[in-house]
Amino acid sequence: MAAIRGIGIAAIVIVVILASAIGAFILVDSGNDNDSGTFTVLDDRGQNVTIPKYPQRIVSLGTSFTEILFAIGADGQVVGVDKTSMYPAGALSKTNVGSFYTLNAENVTALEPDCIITWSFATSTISTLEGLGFPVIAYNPTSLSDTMRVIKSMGNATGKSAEANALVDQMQLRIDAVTENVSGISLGDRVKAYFELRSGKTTGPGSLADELITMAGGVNIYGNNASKYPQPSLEFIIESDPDVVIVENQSSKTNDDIGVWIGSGVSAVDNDRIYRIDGALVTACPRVVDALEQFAEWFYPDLFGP
Amino acid sequence: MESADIGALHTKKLSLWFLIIVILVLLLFATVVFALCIGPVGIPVDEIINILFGGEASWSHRTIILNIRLPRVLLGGLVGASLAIAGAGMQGLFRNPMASPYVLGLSSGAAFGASLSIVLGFSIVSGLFAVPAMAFIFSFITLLLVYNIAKVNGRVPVDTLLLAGIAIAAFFTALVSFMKYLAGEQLSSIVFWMMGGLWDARWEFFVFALPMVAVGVAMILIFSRDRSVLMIGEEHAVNLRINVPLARNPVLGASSLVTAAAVSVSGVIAFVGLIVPHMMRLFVGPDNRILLPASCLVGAIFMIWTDTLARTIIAPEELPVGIITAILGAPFFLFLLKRRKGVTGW
Repeated sequence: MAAIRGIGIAAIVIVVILASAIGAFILVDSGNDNDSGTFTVLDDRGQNVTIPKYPQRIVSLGTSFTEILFAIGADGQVVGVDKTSMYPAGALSKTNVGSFYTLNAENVTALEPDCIITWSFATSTISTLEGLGFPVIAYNPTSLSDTMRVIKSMGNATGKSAEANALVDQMQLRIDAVTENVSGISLGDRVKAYFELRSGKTTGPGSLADELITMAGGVNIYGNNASKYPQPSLEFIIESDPDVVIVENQSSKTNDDIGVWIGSGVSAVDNDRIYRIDGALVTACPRVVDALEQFAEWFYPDLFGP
Repeated sequence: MESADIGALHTKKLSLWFLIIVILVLLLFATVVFALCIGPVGIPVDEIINILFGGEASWSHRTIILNIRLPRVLLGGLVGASLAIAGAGMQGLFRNPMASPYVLGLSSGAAFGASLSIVLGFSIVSGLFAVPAMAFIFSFITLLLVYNIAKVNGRVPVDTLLLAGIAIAAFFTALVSFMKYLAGEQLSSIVFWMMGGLWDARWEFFVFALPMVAVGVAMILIFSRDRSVLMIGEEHAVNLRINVPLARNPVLGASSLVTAAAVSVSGVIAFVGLIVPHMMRLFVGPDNRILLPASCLVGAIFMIWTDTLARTIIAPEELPVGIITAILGAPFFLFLLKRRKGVTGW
């Protein structure tokens, strides 16, 4: 009796799911056919970009934007991505249009996009695409708050506001958990960190890595530098005596290379606190919160440890 | 009898030259047609013909052919023609086989202008021409600097001019390196710009460059007679009471004009200006009257083919065409060097 009831419930659930899926499909489909309305989105250039409500043929030129589109469930509206869009795996099955720095516009044109999303610093690519008549939304997220703002804006642009807001709320909760946990640490007790990019350069103020280090309760030893991506000075690193060194996983240097280069006597080397992080996490994407939590755990294993 | 022979020989030479030019013009036309048919997006030839003659075709394919490929192919031809004739002009001018359109450091100045616009967003105009305008202005600032530094008592000794060019180029290259250091996300843009490429080719750029290239090429061709005098060397030219700076100004200025026009819309494309004139010297001889127009046409053909390779070889990605011209150009240059060992003239 109980078994039959279980099967019955399962059958009803399946039917409801199928029906709503079909319904959703028909709704989306009819929306596509009948709703020829347009609306405007304010992008990071301060430009009001007119796009269809909602775009169904998006070309995403930037790994951050592709990742966001997938995270908010707009991946079905994406027809093309640039070559840096490697995550999530679904992005690899989208048409690759090449690099947005040296874009051949015919690859994009062939996809007949109704909306293109890219970085605002790709100025010549933007003017080429706009010259061909395509609406281009250009963002320039360089911080966590920027990232969340862009996620919301992209949700608004693609008709996925609910999903985007839910994602941002969830990110904010995790960020708050980290910052509240480290808020009690006095300035003198804060962990000093040195971060190295795959290029061998480090990260100064205004960079995402600098913000992550600070939010995770650390002090970036290059946090007061004049330029954003300075070439590190060995003397300065030794003098600053970082407690933790974080290297991008894509760097050709091994942890041992770094240890030998900096030399013993520096806390991070002596205490074996040289860590590696996937550089793809230290970008303006939803997974940046993973990097934040990872940093916090490396800085304060007692507070964040398992 | 003897003079009649010379006359007949001369007529024969002229008709040969005429034939060469006609063949090259036909080759150029064929090249443009072929290049238009090849690209990362496959479009059937009959559809391309339809598009060109106003027939039925999809909107995206029409846009690709008329607003992306056609301006790109034509701009490529313009850039190749400019660099090649400027190279031939400079080589004749300086009596130096090493001379290229960039010998006076124009490309370094242009790169600095471009990087100012790319990194700092500083330009005299905004929008489409932000980078080309700065590149163009700074290549002319470079020319004026080099020329005036080299000028001694109204004369411009060739070695001083070349050395001044090297020094100014080094200075601007250092400034470009500083710009690269300051650049964050824009770093790749500068690097790719300096490799040279036509991915941003647009009708606007073609319209911008065409009048300058037309005037420049015409000037180089017209003043080639004066240049034959200069081929015997500045000292001799002075002895012949030819006003050297005046005789030199139009060609130097015209070569610089076409080079600046080319660089501003395509970046620093290597080796075309060096290799094409040498190649043509091998085929048509050193006489400027045939060498200059032949270099101009072959430069255009060479550039369109290498750019076709650049946009298809790793499609959908692009290879900066400067990489291809250098990879093809350098070994060929060495081949010419080996050949000409022991042979006089260049």
